Amino acid sequence: MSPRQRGRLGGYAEEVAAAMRRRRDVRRPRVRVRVDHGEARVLAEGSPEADRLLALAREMLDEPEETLDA
Amino acid sequence: MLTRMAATAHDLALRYLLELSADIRGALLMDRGGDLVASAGLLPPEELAETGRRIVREVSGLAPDGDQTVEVDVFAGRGALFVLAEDAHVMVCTTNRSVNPGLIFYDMHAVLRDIDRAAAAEERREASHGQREAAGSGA
Repeated sequence: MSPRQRGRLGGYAEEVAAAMRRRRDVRRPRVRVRVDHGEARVLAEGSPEADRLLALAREMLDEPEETLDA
Repeated sequence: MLTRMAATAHDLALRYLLELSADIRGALLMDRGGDLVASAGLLPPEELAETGRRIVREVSGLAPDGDQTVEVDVFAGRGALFVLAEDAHVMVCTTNRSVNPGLIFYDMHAVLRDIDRAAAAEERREASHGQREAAGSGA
């Protein structure tokens, strides 16, 4: 395999890895809060409020229990 | 204000919300005290009132002043939960994951405004009815 082919293969692998990372980030649970039409903030992963709200969401959505940082 | 409005009007409002957005699977309406006012759509029937009360408690904790408008969206593995606390009500919706949160909140705000407007109109109607009765008995 020529260095050029190796480079192209490496490029493809990086693209696939980046796509998988993006997909994982998009599917990661998150809790976002906005008070009084202000700036929205994402609650920290593993914070008690975020975990409680996520657990409530899972109850309503009929999903198995899991925490944000799981 | 809530008790002066027929319960069916709240149910109808939630059904209208489900018609507004095909992405919304189910909806709950509570007062700020956490009491369940109405529900519609696909929701787990067990302990719905208690779950609603816990959601209101959590949202109240995020707004220390009490009567502030609070929007919360929670994206879980297979779906999303949206909570909107505004004026006298707290509305909760469940959707699939592939939704635009801004659009869901837009529909929720619209329906909550309609509910508040209907309750205010009902209150005015009852007040004018009471005044007419008082004037009639005084004559």
